[in-house]
Amino acid sequence: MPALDARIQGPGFMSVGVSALPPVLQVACAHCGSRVARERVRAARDSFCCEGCEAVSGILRSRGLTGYYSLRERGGSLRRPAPAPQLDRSYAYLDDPAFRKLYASDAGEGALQMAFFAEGVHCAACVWLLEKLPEFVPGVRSVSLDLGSSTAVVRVPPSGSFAEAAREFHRLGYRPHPVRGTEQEELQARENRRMLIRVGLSGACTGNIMLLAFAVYGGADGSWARLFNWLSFVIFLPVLFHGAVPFYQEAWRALRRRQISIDVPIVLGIAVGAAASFANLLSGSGHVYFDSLSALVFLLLSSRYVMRRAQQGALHSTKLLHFLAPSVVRRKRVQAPPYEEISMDLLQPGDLIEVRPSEPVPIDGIVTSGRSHLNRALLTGESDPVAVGAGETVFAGTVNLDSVLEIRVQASGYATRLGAILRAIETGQGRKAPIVNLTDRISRYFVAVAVALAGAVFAWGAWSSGWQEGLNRALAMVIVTCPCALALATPLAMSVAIGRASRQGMLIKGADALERLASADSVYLDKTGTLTSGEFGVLEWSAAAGREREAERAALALEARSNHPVARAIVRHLSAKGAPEAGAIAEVHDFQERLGRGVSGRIGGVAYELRQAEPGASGTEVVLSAGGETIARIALGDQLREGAREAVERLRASGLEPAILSGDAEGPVARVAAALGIPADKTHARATPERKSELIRGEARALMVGDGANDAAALSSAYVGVAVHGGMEVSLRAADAYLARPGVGPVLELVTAARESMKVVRRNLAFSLVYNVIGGGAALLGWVDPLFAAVLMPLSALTVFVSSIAGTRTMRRALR
Amino acid sequence: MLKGAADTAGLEHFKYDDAIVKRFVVATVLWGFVAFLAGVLIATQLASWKLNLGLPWTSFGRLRPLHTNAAIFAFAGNAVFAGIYYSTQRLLKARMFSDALSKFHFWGWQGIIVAAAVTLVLGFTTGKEYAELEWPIDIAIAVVWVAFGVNFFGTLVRRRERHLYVSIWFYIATIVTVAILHIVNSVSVPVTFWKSYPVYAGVQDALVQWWYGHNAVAFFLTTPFLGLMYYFMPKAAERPVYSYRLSIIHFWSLVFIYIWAGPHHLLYTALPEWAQTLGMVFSVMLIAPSWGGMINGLLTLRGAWDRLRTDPILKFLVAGITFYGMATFEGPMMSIKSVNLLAHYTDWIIAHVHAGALGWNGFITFGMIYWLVPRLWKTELYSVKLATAHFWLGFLGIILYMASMYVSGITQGLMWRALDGSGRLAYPDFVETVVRIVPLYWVRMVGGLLFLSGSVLMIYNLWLTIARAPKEAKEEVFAAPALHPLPVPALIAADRTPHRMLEGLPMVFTVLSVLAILVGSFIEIAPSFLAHDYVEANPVRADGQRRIKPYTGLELSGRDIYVREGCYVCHSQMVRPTQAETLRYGTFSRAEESVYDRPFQWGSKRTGPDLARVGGKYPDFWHFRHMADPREMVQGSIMPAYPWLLKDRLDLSSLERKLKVMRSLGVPYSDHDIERAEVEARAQALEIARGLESSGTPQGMHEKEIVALIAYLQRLGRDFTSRSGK
Amino acid sequence: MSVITVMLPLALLLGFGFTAAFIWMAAKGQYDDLETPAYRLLLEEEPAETGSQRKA
Repeated sequence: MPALDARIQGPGFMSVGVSALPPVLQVACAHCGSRVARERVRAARDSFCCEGCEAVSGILRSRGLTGYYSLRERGGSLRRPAPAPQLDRSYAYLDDPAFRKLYASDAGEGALQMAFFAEGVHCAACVWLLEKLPEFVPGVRSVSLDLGSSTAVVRVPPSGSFAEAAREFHRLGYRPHPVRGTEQEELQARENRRMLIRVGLSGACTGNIMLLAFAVYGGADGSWARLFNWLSFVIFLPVLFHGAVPFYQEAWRALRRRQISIDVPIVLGIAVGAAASFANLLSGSGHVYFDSLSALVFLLLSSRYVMRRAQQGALHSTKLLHFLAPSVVRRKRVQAPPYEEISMDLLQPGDLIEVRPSEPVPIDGIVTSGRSHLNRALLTGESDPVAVGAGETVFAGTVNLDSVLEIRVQASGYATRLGAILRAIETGQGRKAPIVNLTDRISRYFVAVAVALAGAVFAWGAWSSGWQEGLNRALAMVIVTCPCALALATPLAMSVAIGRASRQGMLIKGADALERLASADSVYLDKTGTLTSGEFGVLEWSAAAGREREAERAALALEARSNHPVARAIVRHLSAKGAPEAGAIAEVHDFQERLGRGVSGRIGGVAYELRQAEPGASGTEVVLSAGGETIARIALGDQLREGAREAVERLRASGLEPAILSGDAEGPVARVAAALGIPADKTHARATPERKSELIRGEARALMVGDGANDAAALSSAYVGVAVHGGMEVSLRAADAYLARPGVGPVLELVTAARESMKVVRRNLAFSLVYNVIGGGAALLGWVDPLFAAVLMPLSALTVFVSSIAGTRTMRRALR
Repeated sequence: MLKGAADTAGLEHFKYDDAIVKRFVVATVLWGFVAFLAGVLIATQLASWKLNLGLPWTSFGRLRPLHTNAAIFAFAGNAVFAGIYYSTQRLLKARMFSDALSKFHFWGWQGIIVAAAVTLVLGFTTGKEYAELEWPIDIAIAVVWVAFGVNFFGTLVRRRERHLYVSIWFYIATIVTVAILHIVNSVSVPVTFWKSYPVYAGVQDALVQWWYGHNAVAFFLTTPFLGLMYYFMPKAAERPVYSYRLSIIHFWSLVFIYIWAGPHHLLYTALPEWAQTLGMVFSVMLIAPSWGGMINGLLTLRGAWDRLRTDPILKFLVAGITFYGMATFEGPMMSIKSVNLLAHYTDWIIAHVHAGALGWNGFITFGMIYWLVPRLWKTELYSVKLATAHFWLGFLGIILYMASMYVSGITQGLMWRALDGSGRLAYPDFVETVVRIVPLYWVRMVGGLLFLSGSVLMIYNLWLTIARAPKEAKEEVFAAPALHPLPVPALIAADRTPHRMLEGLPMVFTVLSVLAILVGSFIEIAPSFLAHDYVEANPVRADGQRRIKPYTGLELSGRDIYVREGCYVCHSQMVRPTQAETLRYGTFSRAEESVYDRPFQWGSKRTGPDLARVGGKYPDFWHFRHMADPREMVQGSIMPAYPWLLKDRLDLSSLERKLKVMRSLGVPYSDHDIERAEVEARAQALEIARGLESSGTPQGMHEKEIVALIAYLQRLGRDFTSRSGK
Repeated sequence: MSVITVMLPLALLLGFGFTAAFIWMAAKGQYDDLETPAYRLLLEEEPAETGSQRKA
């Protein structure tokens, strides 16, 4: 498969596994191909999985764009498309001048351009559909889509409107998210191009020098040899002065830090090699090594380029996830219709905004009207929803559960509590010192040994057969032992690992993170979201003897009407158990719901009441009573994720001591710790963000897994931090790696992948040191001539390359 | 002509020029038939010599260049142009730059083909393989090619799609490189309107010719077809190419160093040792980019291989790409010295050539045409079954062709070098190998016939397809936004920090220094080498004579007849330094021997024996009877008879001009030689004729062309060997 | 063998001509996105003169 699917599937994508339903019932949606629910299947016409898909295919048919379906079928799609979104958005905020100043950029000839991350793009048909936009939306001049990063750049004349284009995107089934910082992107792209040019130029020079060198190896002598050596020198100049410049810069930076990085021996090798070869060229005697040197520069440059692109791929994907966080708010307008849609960046303190059910609260503020429950799992880690009403303050990062709230803005953006944590991460207060990677540590000894050996060889050569021979042998020694394979070892192995991991939905933000993941010895797991599923659910259901059926019927009847999180949890629990038939919910008379207290009503003449017991140590509990007599007690809380126990066992088996670090109450945390067999001394409950990061900082090699905002500080100060699917934007930025699939299993996969790739790195280093010993030995004995070096250099690079691609057996199984 | 009406929303409307594509497609199909027919005819001539009909215009020596030029420049050339004109307009979303240039290119090219067909049959040839056309046609080719280049790059500038798809890059490489190749290789000094001598001589002419020869195959028969593959394969398979990144790497690695190819055609010849090694190494290295292309092409069908069963177009394309893979693996293997020692000059080379030509170029072209015709004429292909039949006929034809030539090639190679126990040649006279492989020429002819009949099926199928096409297909108008200039984002513009400026400096500095030094070294080194060559290679000896003496006027006229009749097509003039060859032909050839040979006649095929040392080996009378009827002298020979040499008058009118031109190119003719050229030639002719008459030939032979040819043949290889010749 | 002095610089100049072309193209950003061109090739160009629905 082309490298395209290296991009991970962010939330909102639906990966359609092989569904268990019998084929006869399996009707695919005519538009997006996902399974259609039974009741929506229609005999005669096409059936759709949702209104969104139906609307989109209607639009396509009306515009005669049915070519989309035939193209998609034949063109081979990259991933199953997600169903089209239902909710219609006006995107008016896109044309707001303040917003434009931030997001749009000049596109030449007075036109403006804005980049959008198009969620739902997956194949040639999408490219065709989106790039035909100008034909249907007069205001748009051109749309160009980059499938690799799913970003579409829309160009509009100054008078044109981006909102119109965005609405069109939306109606065709692609949710557009405006992307800021296209200049940032452009700068990086420009840097990539400059790097690519260096690689291309040194590649061309290496090719031609190699051919000239082969002519000399093939027997050309006398005036021909001189001509070819001179030409090799001339063609070597661009490699020396332009290709190898990155190495000089890196080496200079390392030396300024009074450290020896891998670049120092490389620059040493190139400088000595070039000087000596030039001297030999002038004197007309001795060997000339231009082909080996340019091959060295070319191989190292291309491996660094590959490494850079792999890392960027991973970083880019995480950046894309930020756009899926909400950036649009509904603000109460002073004059006409109650609410207008504006971008969050433009909110001012004192504005009134409306937050609908299941939408995150975007700012800190005070509730002015409406009562609802908030899920604070992501902000503080507490899993139980908390009731909130008029007059109470709410914070950004919480999610509104059951009813509409109107909030007066107190602080937005960086001013919020969440923002403070974000700024702390970005300014790197908690940042850990970068570790000196393996190859740099080795290169310190390498330089010392190489220089010493060269001196020894020179002395021995000079003593035995004249200083000229001594110099030649020393020169050969320096060139042959030049750390080509050594410098290639780490970047190649790591870029392969990062590339393959990102295809499995595990984003590793760099070689540094990979090395830390491999060497972690204990793992701190956040409860909500990682060990548990994070949703509120029924943990225990104990009913009085003989009255189970009656209790279930009554509970279902009462709770079916209420929107309260406890009610929804019970209904979900009962319908999952398939207790009563869906249609046979009992009739309830004079039903009453008192917020925060419970529900009551009469069923078949008997008065039932579901009351919430006092929140004791063991979390929330609900009591069902029939005519005053309790017939059932239901304990609710955060459900343990299936497979969590086995995963924790495997973690412990692989040498990572698991521990729990959660902001939740002691009760739920203790229950989960008991279920997973984690000792009390390893369980920490009610941990505030500050306590978490200070506790983690104490651990030498701790791996912290978390998703909430409260974990952000800990993630950034831990030896290595891993953010999990569904986490807040802040935790994504703080962590060193990101897991697209929730739960503990993927954590183990990530650590295994890291350990295996470090094994490959060590194996590569072993190979390179073996080659250096061979080369050094041969140089000592005087066997080394340009041909020997010209063969040894690519050979060692090839071995390291093949070993990186092959990886290890476990790695191949884990990261297909 | 709708230039592209501007539209308020920035959308421009334009029409593609499909008329030119239709013309090129028809030309491809027709000239294809002519080329295949000529191929089958000359294959039959090899199998049975009677088919030469004893006429100058139908003898193998003149028809073989006709076949090669027709197949390469007429068939493959028109196919490439059809594919380029169709795909470039679609890829760049723009009409061709100028319809006039397109028409000029089409009619110019067909004119060149007709001129070539006429001149080659009349014997006007430069004697350089695959570049046989005389200098007026060479100039015409250059002009038409430049017109094509201007038209192509004009379209490039006015494109509406920013990204240049990889096929466009392959076309650019083709246009630029073929132009340079053709011009450098055709540099010659005209003697008369239909006769010229190349500037290079001997070993230099050999290297330039085969630098051109290999790169003509590379940049005229491979890079454009790779461009076509990268466009038509994804279109036919309706799948994106396997890895677009690989195609970019594949192209640039090919083009950065490709131009070094060539010396592997001259292994074990008088080319210096290091040049041969370089040629060998370079060719083996070429497997990587070539197979990169093949893998990319074939894997485009991943997930859709079953469509190969039903779709003839995919059959052609996949078989074509596989043949490309085979030919580009076989080529490097054959350029390894030890393998080359066996393969060079044998029919194995012909098998390799036709694996590429029929398999790769032929099948890709057929696949492309079956895909194009229904779209150009807006109709359905008349019969898919017929197209599939064409595929199987063609496929079987190629298999028969290659198999027979492998067997014949290896038989030749082994028999030439076979030594019996006592170190003597097991097959001393050459005709023993010829007689042994004649049956295989019949098998090859049948293969060729199958391939030809396949193409006849195609012509029939396409004819009916076009006949049934709707007549008044209305012109389709397309729309695409004009290309906006690349904006320089403010942040970048402000990026002119001193550091960035400094960074740009080394780049500019290095490129300038490389260019300066290259040109400098060229000017400084070149003169010394040029002079050095003549002095050392052919030193004036103590007795004031040079070891290698220039040809006399009569011998030069005989050489021109040798070139005219295309003797180099079957005979080589290069004895290789191996025991078997020195035993069979005499001491191996040195570079200096051909220092005055313009054009060099080392040859690339030994259907007949090597002639480098034939001088003095047979009496004049033997040659006289042999040219009249080869079978009379050599039992079982398949050489055509040349009776007209005994009848046509020897024309020495332009002999003086020829010697003047030769002298201007550095051949040491004195003024005395030039003034008395014709008189001395007549005298030498008279002397030879008197010798012939004493052995019983008719009177008056001294005025006939045969005498000049005999003079040249008797001179071959004499200067170097110790034997004293007349 | 003096023709080398013609052929060699010619070969190098041609090689570096294409290198310069590569540099110009890389600088112009032709090789930033190497995924979409392979897909954009497959888009069937159908005529636009039936542009009547442009006002949809």
